[in-house]
Amino acid sequence: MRALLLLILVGCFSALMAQVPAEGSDMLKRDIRRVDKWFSSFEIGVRQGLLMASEADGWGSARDNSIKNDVFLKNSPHYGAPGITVSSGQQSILQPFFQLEGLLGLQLRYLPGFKKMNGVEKVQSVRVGGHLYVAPFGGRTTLDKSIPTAFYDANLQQTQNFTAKVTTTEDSLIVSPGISLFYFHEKGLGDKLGASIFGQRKLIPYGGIELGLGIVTGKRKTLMATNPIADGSFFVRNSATLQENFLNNFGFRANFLLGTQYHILQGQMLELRLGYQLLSISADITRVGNFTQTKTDAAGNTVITYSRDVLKKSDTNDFSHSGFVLTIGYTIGLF
Amino acid sequence: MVGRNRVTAYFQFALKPKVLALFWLFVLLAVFNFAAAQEKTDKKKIEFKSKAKEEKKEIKLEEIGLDKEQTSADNERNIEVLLWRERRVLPVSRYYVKASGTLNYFNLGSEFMAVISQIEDTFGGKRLRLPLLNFNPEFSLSMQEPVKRAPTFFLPTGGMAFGYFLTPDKKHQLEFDFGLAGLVPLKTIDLNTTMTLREYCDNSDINNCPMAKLGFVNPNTLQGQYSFRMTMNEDVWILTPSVYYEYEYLQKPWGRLTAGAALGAMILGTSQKIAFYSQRKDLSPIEAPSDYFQARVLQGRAESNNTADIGPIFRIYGGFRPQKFKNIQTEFRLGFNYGFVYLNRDVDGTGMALLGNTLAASFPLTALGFKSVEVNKFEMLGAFIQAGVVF
Repeated sequence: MRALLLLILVGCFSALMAQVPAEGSDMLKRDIRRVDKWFSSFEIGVRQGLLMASEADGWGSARDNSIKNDVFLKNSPHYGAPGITVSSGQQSILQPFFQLEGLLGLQLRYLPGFKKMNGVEKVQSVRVGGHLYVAPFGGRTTLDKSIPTAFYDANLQQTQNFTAKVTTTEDSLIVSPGISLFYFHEKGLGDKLGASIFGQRKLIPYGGIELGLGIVTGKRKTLMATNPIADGSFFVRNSATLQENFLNNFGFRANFLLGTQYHILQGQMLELRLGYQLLSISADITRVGNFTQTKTDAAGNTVITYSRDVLKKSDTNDFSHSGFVLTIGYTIGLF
Repeated sequence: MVGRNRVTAYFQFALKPKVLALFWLFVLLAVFNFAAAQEKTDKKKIEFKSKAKEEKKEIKLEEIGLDKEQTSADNERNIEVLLWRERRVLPVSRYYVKASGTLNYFNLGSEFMAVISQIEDTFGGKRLRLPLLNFNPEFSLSMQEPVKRAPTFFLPTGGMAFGYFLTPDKKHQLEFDFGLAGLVPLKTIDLNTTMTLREYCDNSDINNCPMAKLGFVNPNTLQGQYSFRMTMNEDVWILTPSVYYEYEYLQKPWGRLTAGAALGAMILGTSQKIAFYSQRKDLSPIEAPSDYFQARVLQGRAESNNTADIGPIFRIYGGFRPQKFKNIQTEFRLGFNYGFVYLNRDVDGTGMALLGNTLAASFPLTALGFKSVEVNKFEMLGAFIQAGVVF
């Protein structure tokens, strides 16, 4: 199903690209007329940007709850740390991303359905196209603390005090194919600004929206290890691992933006964009991990090892990345 | 490890927001400086409007595909836009757009194969020691059919590319390609066989042999026969943005031959899910009269994940662009590639030993020698063939 969806997207994009005429054939003249009639321009751009956002409300609290319940066994009636407090908080995100984009300028007055519309002949600055947004985000440490921890053993009715070292790292890969729709103010700002390097339609402002499918893969890994404490002639230590991952989860991405295009040389433009991105994705998380208690003798030989699996094998959390985006790019005009 | 640290540190440094911002600030300054210089030296571009007014008289409507029936205001606007646009496009004969498919043949490199063989060794007769509660048995697992990951020698990728001829004679060209592979899940192990569990101990005293004592193996032979089922499902994402340089060394009526090299980045995400279940099938009432009807089960599951690790990929190749066939321009490339990524893999999982309702003990995979966090070099050394349609 996912492969089919990707093939359809690639097919649509290829069909748009195929509108570019082949050179030196009889079909060329016909294609040029058709392209000139329907499409006023075609530009390809590559962009690099930065997303400035905060984690979704539920993401930080879900991370804390995971650690409390499965790493410190907070709610276990037999053995656990009922008074544990973990607060990694809702953290800010500074995420670099890359984007490829192809934009066709539409001549609305020649398109079916628009021909008889009043005033449409004046609108020559609508551009529509496709884009691919890729945001690899690796190795973000969201928690790295030493936490005093009191584990209570209900059978022995005694408390064991440890210092637990907890580390959580998160990675994600967001890929979002989608469509773009813009309105370009083709006359530019040059005449009004008056400066020579901004003159002659060199600085063109525009605004628009990007809509796309968000495909997200990610993982979160938590490691916990305590110091050993003496228990008679033995030493006891606790450790835990928790690995949560989600793969190819689907969601929705929209980006409302304002930008400006600066013409450098023939067919080459620089672009600057500022926008607000909405990325709404619900992550279906698979969880594996264990809590292990080990008792060793004075020589370091293991006397007894007890392990338990995580109880909750799956979870669903809000993995939304919404915030401001700043993008800079290089664009070439093909026709 | 030194190489890994250097490459990882390089990418981490290059992706820092401050470094990216500084890089683009330099680019902007250079471009504005260059653009300002261009404006000073090319007076014709500054006088564009007046020149356009003169030129529009010479343009025939038929040549640019406009309707004669249109109003003069429409045509005037069209001509102005066309002339303006002409300044903003690359020469048509100098660029192309290409959709391509690539088939990569590769081997994964010794380090990554060692990771895979770690799983194969665990179920392939290697002696293991498992601390489980207050037992610490030494044992081995041997399959009738070996646990082998199905080889992935071929990796198909799809790509979109933009190419530009650097010189008018089209001998030198640059191409920017974005390749994508993955999304489709692979089942690389699907095994249904029998397993022999063997305990290593001195069985003159049954207390020395915890697995025999609990009925997981026969106390006399120290072996137990199990039915065994194992699956491994994998998902892979590979994104490869690359820059190709190509030189044309032969131009003939039947086509042109080229040689080229490429440098790109490989962004890789992988996931492996392994699950196994085994149950003893030769437990006899003589051996364990009291709990003959209780099953002896060993089962487990494990996950290995990495997300968005980045490394370089290099390619050298020869290219062939034949004459057009029915107005379709094709292009073929054959060459070698080498790339590597240091995968930051998280590995976790749990196994369980079940003895009916008498004993249910779990153990982490680390107890069998697996590392919870690993860094492995994933190499792709091999050949590739690429076929594309050029627009």
